[in-house]
Amino acid sequence: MRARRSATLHAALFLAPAVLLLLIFRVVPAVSALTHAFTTWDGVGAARYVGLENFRGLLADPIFRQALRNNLLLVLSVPLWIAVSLVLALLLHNEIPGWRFFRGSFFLPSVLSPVIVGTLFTALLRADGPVSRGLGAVGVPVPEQGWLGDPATALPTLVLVILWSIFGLGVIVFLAGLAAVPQELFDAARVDGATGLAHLWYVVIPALRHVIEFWSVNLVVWSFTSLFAFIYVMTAGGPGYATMLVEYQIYEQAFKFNRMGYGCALATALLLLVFGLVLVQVRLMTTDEDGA
Amino acid sequence: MNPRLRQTAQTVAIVAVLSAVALTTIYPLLYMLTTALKDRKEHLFNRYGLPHHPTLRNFGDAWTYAGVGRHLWNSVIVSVAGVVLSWVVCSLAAYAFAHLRFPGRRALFLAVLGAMMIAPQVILIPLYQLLIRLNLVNKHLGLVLVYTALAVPFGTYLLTSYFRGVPRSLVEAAEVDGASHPQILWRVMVPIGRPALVTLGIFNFLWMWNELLLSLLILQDKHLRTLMVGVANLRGEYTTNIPLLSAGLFLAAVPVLLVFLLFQSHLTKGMTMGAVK
Repeated sequence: MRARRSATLHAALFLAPAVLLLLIFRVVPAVSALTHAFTTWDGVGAARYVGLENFRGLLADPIFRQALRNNLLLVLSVPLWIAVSLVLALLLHNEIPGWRFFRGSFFLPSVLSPVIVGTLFTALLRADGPVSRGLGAVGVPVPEQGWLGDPATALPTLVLVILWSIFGLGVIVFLAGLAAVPQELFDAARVDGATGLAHLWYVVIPALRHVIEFWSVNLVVWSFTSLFAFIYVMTAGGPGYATMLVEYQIYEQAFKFNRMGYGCALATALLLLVFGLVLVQVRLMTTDEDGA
Repeated sequence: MNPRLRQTAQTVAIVAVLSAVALTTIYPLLYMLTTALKDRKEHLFNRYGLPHHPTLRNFGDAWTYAGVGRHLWNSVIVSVAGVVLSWVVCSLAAYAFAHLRFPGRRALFLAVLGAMMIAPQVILIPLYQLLIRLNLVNKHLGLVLVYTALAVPFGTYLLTSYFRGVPRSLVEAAEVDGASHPQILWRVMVPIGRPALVTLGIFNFLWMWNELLLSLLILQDKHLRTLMVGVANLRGEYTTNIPLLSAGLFLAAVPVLLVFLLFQSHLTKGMTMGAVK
């Protein structure tokens, strides 16, 4: 009995720093964001309760609609990100000559800050930059304003830059997944004559189902919440609103236009979008023995 | 075609594909480095070739005039403090989750993990207001505390699963010897958990070093800025001086490139935690 009470006391002490940090810097602000979503607030004076006005504003806000559309287009590109990483991981898996070098070089971009990647690619993608020169040489028409300056090409270009910066991480994740699959499974499939696409579809993908799910959820959450720096450095949401994303709009409304209440309403929308997804993510990360 | 020949042809084709992809990841970095080694004039006339008259002047200019040196130091302070504080906070919590029995353990563990869903963007506005009130804006400490709070869920998750693997008998033996819980954590868990702690430290160092949004808001003072904010501003100030900008970018990337070269295997492990069970 005494030992148990002492364990509980120690647990309280050991958990206090983590729990306090989470409460003060994450939970309290989250609650505050939810409540301020129903106010107009300039961040200096007192917030004034306005009911659902911000949310009605959201539905009618063409910039928000555009941002949401762009976010959804990003989500739709996730299968492409998965496919690229998965195919490269499969090619590497059989220990092709030089596989260590290839693995390292694929992984390299994902340790670089989006600030560095974004700035670098802004220079590379200018109308007079190396990418335009290379593509121009093979007859591809180059947009006059550069790849990020043309409303038609800005978002697809952004997607490709983001893909560049993240695909190597996917390769690493899938390689770890492949290493956990018993080699006999692949051998047996080969004996049965499964090759190429059939092998991929009927053997590899089912064997990696769990890893693919895990990585997809990660990427989707990431696409909603981790692209601020790319936008900040590369396009600031433009040209026009061609690359505006919800997370960037929050920043802009709050810290450029001092519309804190409206920003909180945007944040609430983002939270709802991500909420369900993270529940799935936690589900995938915890097994039954966790915390049992 | 005989099978061996076919095998070879296939290998050659695969290597060709992989090389093409590797080229796309390495070329931009090479372009950055070679551009940084040219002076402005050479950059105009020889944009894509190797530098004919390599110079280190851009690095010096970026370091002193563009403030890269000072910002780098700020980033070191913030990231190192963040890494150390996360180690302490997450180890303590993980020890409790892995080896202490107390009511509500599972629920609390899930709640800590669930805090992950509160993305920084969502709480940005109230967080900023809160930090103003706590007088933590324009203080390194403010950013360090926020970073640590962000690092808690994953760090606790990673260390808990590692500490759980430590045999119960080791803990009991230490208890019989009269060791207190903090002593068991320090003398048993930390030495055994070293690989996980190293992985966590590297992982946290990288994202804290690379982070922009929170740093931008919390450290607004020019002298306190971290390197990523500094670099993001360089882009505005030196749009026409691409060589200097490249030198600044390269300097900002050096620490992470070093970490990458030295700790690649640790990194890979950290990144795949949770994906494979």
